Amino acid sequence: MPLPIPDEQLQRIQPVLNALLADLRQRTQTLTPAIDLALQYHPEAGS
Amino acid sequence: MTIREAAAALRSRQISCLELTNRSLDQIAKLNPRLNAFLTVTGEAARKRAAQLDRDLANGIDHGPLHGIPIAHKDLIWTRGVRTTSGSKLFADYVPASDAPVVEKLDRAGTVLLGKTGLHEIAYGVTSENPHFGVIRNPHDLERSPGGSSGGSGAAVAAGMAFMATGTDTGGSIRIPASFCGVVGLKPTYGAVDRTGIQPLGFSLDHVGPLTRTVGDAGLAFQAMAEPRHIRPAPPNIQNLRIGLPENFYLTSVDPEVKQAVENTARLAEQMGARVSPVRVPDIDALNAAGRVILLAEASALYEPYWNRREDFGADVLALLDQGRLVPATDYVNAQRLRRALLQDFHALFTSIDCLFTPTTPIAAPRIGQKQVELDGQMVDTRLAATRLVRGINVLGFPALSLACGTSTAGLPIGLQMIGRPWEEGLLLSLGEALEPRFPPQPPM
Repeated sequence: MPLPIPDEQLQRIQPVLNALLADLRQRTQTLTPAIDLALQYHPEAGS
Repeated sequence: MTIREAAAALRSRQISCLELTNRSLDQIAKLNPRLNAFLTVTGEAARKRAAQLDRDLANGIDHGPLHGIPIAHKDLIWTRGVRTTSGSKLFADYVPASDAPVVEKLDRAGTVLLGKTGLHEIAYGVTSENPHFGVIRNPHDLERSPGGSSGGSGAAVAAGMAFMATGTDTGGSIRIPASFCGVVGLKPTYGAVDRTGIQPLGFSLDHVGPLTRTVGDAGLAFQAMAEPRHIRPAPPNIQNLRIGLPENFYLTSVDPEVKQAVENTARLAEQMGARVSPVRVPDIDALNAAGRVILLAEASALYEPYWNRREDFGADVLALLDQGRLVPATDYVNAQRLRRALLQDFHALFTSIDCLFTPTTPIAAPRIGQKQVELDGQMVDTRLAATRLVRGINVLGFPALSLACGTSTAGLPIGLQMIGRPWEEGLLLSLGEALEPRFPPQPPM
């Protein structure tokens, strides 16, 4: 088992990471929902 | 002296391969104690190799334009029998049993290996302040950063220690040192140069390319390094090449001197016959966000076997590896989906232009240890500022060339980034070579 991330480190890195993930999630809201991907080809679905 | 000039001097017997190598080794002996650009110098092997290449030339065996040219490899590229540390305590004593294919190719092209250049730990950062092997310094100002992660390669080429040095670029690690050190850096198209035998960081973002003093030299090095099957021929000249100058993102939150230098260079290209037009670029902030999440996850996945050796990592690298452990798989997958959608937007942009002009970095070289820089009246993390204009191009996999396009009032180089369509390195090199004579290199130190 890998060593857990120490609490002190978690407190340091989580605000930075959370801000990045929140930014990403806001931007990925524009991605096509599954039902629409099922109905038509979309580039983000890959091939 | 450029590679082309050295090649001509070698063939006219004005200089020998051994003399050329000794000059480089003398420069390393003189400057490396201050710059720390080289981690390992292979002087004896280099002299032996150069003497053999002199004998080859005397016997009519010419290996081509790089015959007898002294070069260096970034110290995460495997070199048989020569320690390859990746700038990491984990691999401090690692000696590969074989050369990376790119090393073999450059060897077959007749180069002389001088040694291995220093880097940011495991290439995961842009300062080259390495906790295990020391700080690398910028030859233009020893108190300033050479950039990273290929900081040793940038410093070595700028200081005249080597004619060419290899670099790797996962989020700007060739182009940032090129910009800060005032040299040429080519990040080729994704996959154009074989990455076998090179320590990976982000396997869907990693690229390999050359750093040189001139664009012509970068072209020679790239020809020797690349897999030729996909590379498109260069245009005959730059007449009517369509250059896009971004109206959004790339020229905002940029030092005014940098902005001015890039705009001046675009005007210069126009005077030389290219067609420059304003363009709106797709969402680069989104591209950068996707790129950061993808790299966090990929790097932590690759370094999973070493998670238990926390004390062997520097604090900044450990913080990034720990962040990557916390990225949910759903975010990684959606970042990849976003990447694919944005790639379509960029291909659409490049139907109306052949090349995009941007600054390489929004600032000239920051001071060593400088945590923040001021841009548009706001304090910004130096690492985010340095990668802001380059990271997205790794996400796309498009080629990009950085060359000096001016000097700041502090006497520091300013870098221009030229971005092209996949496999059109030749176009970027032609354009860069046409512009380069207008920007004579500022000798460092």
